[in-house]
Amino acid sequence: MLDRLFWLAVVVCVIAQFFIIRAVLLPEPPPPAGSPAETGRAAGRLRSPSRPLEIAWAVLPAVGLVLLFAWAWELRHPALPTPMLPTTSSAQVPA
Amino acid sequence: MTGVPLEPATATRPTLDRPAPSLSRDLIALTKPRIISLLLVTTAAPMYAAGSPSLALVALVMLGGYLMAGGANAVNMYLDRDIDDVMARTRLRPIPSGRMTPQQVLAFGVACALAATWMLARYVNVLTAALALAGFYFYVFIYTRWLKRSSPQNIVIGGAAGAFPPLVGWAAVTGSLDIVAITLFLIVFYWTPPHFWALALLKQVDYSRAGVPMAPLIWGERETMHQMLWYTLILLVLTALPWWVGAFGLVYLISAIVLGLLLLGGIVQMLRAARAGTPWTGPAWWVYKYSLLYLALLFVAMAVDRALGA
Repeated sequence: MLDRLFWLAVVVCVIAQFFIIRAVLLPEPPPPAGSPAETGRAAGRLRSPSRPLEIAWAVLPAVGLVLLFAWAWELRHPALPTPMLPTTSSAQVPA
Repeated sequence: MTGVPLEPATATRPTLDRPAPSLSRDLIALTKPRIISLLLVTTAAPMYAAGSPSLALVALVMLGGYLMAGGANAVNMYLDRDIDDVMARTRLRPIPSGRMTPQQVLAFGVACALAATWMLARYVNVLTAALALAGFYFYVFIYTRWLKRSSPQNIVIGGAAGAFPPLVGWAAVTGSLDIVAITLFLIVFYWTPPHFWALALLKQVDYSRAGVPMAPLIWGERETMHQMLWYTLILLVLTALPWWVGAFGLVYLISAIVLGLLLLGGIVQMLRAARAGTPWTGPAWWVYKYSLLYLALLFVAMAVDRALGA
């Protein structure tokens, strides 16, 4: 049950993060006439941001989320310690 | 700097009845006390969630946190003095109104940050001081100096500055950071865009005049509202994660779900109003104001949950 909730949470985050990253990949819409956005652009006060940087800024939090989920999963499902193989000392080696 | 001549600030300067300015009142105003009050909640609650701190420790961390955040806010006002003069909501600040010189404000901000660093390192621990100082640098250099005027992601990445207080509170009690502390950081990080974009939607004229590329001015109103929805969905998931890893119990989980669904409902209502072509400013104001209450109550729920479970 708890594991299913975890994967449901992951799916929700993947979908949301997809739309977050998609927003910076799409071309900017033209601002509506007379809007503050159009006024700002016409006056040269608002400029289009750097596309590669925008993509990097959008991807960075997604990486953080992946690391957090991996950490959380590992906490609840700790890897079992591998059994130690018996060591053979030189004294036990048959002559 | 916008590089564009803007109309004089005095043209529409508000003339509301206000208390007479004084130096002490201006110094307090430089620290933006109303904003800091929420930062202090997100510092104090994790302290009680992390353990059982003494009142003296809580008081020290609160004072150090106030000084550090207040210092960052003062330096922010120094760096933003040109655009503060053209935005209606910032015109009455000490620098644009001529009551303090930029140098005085910068000196005050740096002095506050230095005092906070010394106090936290000397009386709490070095990790706490380093985290608080990292928040200061992030706010001043990454947000204010770099991103605020160059990217619509200014609030997203710059919002990390406001996410340091839970780390500070946690480190003050435990002397280290763990998955719960990092989750609290990410909760504030993902809360910041829906909160500030609600304000940005309402203050587009101000931001356009100042040349600050807030999301609604670059992506448009509708896309910004959609983005608020996506960030809030991730926020809801993140708020459940501390319960999933066993850090908090059902009191916290139920509070997080109810509070989060209310926030989500407000954003959906705003989006519906925008789609229907009806006024959406009412729901946007509600989202802005409720999101403040949301974060405070969410963090209080953590402390209460721990207190009840202890």
